[in-house]
Amino acid sequence: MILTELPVGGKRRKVLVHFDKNGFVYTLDRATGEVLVAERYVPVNWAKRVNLKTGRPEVDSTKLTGASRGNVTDICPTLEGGKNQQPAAWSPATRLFYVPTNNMCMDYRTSPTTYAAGTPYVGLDAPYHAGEGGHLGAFIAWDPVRSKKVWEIREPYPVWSGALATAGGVVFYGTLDGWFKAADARSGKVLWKFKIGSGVIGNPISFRGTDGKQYVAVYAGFGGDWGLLSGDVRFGRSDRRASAGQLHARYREAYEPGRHRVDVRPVRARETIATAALLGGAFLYPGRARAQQAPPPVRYEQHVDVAGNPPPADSLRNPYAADSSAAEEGGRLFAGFNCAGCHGGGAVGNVGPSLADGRWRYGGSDGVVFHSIF
Amino acid sequence: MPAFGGHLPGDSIWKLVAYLKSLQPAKDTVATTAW
Repeated sequence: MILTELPVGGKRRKVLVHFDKNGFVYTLDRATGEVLVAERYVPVNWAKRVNLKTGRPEVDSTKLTGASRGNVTDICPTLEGGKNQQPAAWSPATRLFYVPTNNMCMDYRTSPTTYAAGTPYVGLDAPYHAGEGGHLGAFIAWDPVRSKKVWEIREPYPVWSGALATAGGVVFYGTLDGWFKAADARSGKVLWKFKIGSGVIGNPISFRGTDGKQYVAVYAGFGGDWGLLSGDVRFGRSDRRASAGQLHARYREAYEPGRHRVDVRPVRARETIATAALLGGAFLYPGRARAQQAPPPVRYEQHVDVAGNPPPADSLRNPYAADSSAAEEGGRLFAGFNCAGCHGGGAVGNVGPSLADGRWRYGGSDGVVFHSIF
Repeated sequence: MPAFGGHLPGDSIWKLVAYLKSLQPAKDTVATTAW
């Protein structure tokens, strides 16, 4: 929520502006709570409009979800929202908001599930797909007076970083594929970009250093549910036909570890200097991170090996290999323990990776897959 | 992904493995062992 003053209906008002997950941007009188404006800032089809008198959305009944409604398709935006927790920025100079957004729609189907402590308890299969245009996110400039998008920079992935607007007329944001970008605040032209080496979900800040220069810094490193992504959203659904070699090349292009600290030249004459600090990076080394984890609590003796660890993967053989009835039972377990909540119905991928495409991050032998589940 | 070793017996985990292995990959993808 951002506080500012705006002309509304010919009168200058002290307002609170909020870009909601639901896809609407609300402008409220911050003294009275009166809803002055509510407009879509991303594609929205679950509601037709917001009633300014009540503040309530007028819902499209065809997009209502629930156990009795089966599979409801193409709801925009998704559970992730038109925007998520990442903050927007306001520039008093340009009188524009700068907003990191998602451009994703979803299908939505509930199913009975079983509660198991410490595991996801969702009962939902909600695969996402790109909205109109085929891109998954965009960094936009929004004019609150005209309730209109002024420009946008389309991104292949959801824009999950915060936004920073500077007095020098430059705005900054980061991307999930590891770019830190500076754009002209009025035109949206990308002035500079730098490959940080990890996805950016932090928020850029600006400060004056002890040397008197202005710096811009951003915390970079994956986390949250987007850190779970390993293929399907990162590469885009249209890329599912790409070969493993192509995907691997894109992975390297997207996540090649960079230097831990970089200083770059000014992007404009007004001495705006970007300093990017790469912190974290556990996502880049999942094997190492796993090796440092303590083994999970063991309840079943057949799981126990030396020091309480599971037996080595290469010593394990699946007693049910190629047993179709056991596979059917496994499918019921997959649904019942809510694996589909992350990996999607049929294990085709959702916020978690697909387990049905023949690509295995930690190895595809029976024993390794057993270890991954264990 | 949370660990399921404390929730499921080994037999059930093997059935899950059998289920996942029964899901056929698309013809134009190539299995990889690790990235």
